[in-house]
Amino acid sequence: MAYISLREVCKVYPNGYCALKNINLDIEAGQFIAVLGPSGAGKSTLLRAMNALDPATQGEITIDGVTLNKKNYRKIRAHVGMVFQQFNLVDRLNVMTNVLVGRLAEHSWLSSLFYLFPKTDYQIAEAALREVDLLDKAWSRADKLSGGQQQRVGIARALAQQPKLILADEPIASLDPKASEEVLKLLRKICSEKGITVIVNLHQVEYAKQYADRIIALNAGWLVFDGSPEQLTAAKQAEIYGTTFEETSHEPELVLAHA
Amino acid sequence: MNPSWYWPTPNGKPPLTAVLSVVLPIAVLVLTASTVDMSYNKVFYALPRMLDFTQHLWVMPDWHYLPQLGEKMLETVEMTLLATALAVVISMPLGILAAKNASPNPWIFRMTRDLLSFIRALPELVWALVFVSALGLGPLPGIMALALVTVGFMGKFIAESIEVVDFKAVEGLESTGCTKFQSILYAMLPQAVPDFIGSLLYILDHNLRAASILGLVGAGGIGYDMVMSMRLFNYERIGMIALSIYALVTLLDRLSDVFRQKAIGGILNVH
Amino acid sequence: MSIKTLPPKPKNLFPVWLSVALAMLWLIIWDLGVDFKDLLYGVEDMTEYFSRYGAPNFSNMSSYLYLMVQTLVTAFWGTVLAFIMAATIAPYAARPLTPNAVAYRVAKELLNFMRAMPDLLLALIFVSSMGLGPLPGVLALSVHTAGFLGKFFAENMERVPAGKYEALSAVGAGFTQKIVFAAWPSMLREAVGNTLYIFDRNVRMAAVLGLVGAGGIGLELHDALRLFKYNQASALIIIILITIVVIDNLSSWIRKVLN
Repeated sequence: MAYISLREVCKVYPNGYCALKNINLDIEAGQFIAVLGPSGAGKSTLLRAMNALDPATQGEITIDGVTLNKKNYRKIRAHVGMVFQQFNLVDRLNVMTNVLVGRLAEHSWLSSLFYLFPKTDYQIAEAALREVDLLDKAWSRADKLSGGQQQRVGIARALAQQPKLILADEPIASLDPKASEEVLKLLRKICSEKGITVIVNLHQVEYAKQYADRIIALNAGWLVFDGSPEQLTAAKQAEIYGTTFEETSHEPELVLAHA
Repeated sequence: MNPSWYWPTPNGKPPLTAVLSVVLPIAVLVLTASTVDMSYNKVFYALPRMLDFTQHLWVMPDWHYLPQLGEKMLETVEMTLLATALAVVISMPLGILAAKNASPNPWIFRMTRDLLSFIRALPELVWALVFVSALGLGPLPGIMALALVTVGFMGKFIAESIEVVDFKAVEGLESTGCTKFQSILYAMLPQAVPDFIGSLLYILDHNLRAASILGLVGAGGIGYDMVMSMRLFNYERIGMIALSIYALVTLLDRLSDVFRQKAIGGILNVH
Repeated sequence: MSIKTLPPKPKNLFPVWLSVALAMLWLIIWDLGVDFKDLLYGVEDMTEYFSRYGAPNFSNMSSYLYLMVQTLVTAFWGTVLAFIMAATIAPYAARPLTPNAVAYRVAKELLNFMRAMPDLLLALIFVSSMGLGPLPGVLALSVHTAGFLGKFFAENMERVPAGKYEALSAVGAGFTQKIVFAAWPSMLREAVGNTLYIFDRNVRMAAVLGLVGAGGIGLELHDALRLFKYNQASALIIIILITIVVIDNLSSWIRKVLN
């Protein structure tokens, strides 16, 4: 059985807008998947449905044999890490505390009230920081780091959960090209070395082809492409985006239209 | 405590500021408990009496009191509005004088600033006591007291708003060769207006509450009735008074929210 | 396509509002029967009256100082208790944190109610159930200002960027953990400012509550004025004044240091 399976998943917002239409997907454990599509296609909605930040209104999502329902969201989230476009770190707290936040699902509210964590948590956090190469910044305030560093803290937080799945919602959209490559390399490394399934939302087709095992594309809530990077031909891209990457670079209006 | 739980700091212990900010207040509380007669017994034994009191409130309201209640509540509202309006008018020029960058000379600046500090420093009720002594009973001393204290706060607030104004706009204006007064009027005041509205609404709210207790010392409003009905255990009236104050304050609160939204939208464009 | 003529000037309603306001004020002055001429005529009298305060009598200094300290302590206790109550209720009145709609409405109304009750009335109620002394004053202040502080805290919590709360939801954190790790660290500075402001306000209120028998220096002042002992009254006023000015400056300084 697939590690993650989505069956006839739809998401309709209260105002009637349908963001996901009849999504059917099977994802094996350990894959690195890139999700492509124009803005508003439903990429974020898809990821956020998987950890129930924006639960699906129809259909079934099953992760590791457990089907999502209102009662088990927190349990599911304990082992699903998420990396955000805006990093979503707590600025005033130090890097170590931001990473330790990943361990909160395992503890009751009483110990959390006093900002106390057991030694084992510190060991896990340290390993996570080592993985993202930020041990030296462990005690700095989160808002004193650069964008790329903050995102790596976000990844360390996800790692601290000891997750089997990491969902990255446009993780590089706020980063410069160098930091973007660092982050994607890191995610790829985590996937290959630890066997963690990684699903990343991206705008850049080139990065998707470079790093992903499998590419999924959405357009207006529909699943329009599901295959290997080689299968993503220029023609297929045209279907997804309405035009190819080469063409868009010559026509500023079209580029802006797809921005 | 289990020794293998730590705080997220380099040495595993809680940061000094955090510890102090918890320990110091607790220490002060413990040391001063006797000064305020803080004792568990007192509070505990008072609970049944308070319950008893609230039970007594559930009585038929004294309908005959309604006209007087209405009159006194109206008086309270009128005092608030009048005092606030007076204060706004007086505090605009004073606020300008008390702003470092708008004041004609440093001496006037200092004196105005200190004057505003002085009139702010006493609670309205104290001023009301003083004015009642001088002017006799009635709403006038209450209005004076409220207006005075409001001038103190509003003046300081206006001065501070003017001081943090964006100087680029002022420079732009001065480059056309206008006088200092004109630059104040056309560059500084308009920038201070949005914050001014916010603080005005807040001050209205504060003044309504203050006005409702000034009657305690005979300075008009519902305060006198409030205290007298408590002293005479006139439960029917107390409930009515408390309810009407609650209703009024809540009404003002909702109105301010609405007004705040509109004011941000620019309904107060002067030009 | 360019516009050839000036668009019509938008209607300026300011003069309308101004006239309405002036009309209302005129009505109020008429209804209250207030005669500002009394003030003018009274200026000479007032000057003579204020001169009576010219010779402050500090002979009872030690007892006055004790009363002032008692007033300060009343304010301090009131503020601390208010803080505890506000910190407990506020998360329920903050939309991103509140567990359900009912809790939200209840918490909001509770805070409104606590704010709307005049502290004097509360003090009167507490005095009648507990007898005279500073304790009823402490309780009255704490209930009333807990309403204010709770509203401030709830507003601060709502102003924290939604992403911070989302990151904590995503790791599976619960209600208390979101408060401790996202809400408080992000609003600490504003919260301290609010608390200092409330303490400032409580010192003034505490001085006044003495008038209804709730302890402190207010009662002494009332008695002095009743018995026309202007010298003692002015000594008391000076003490109150100095204390409030000192507290004001202290809290401004603390706020500067924090920034």
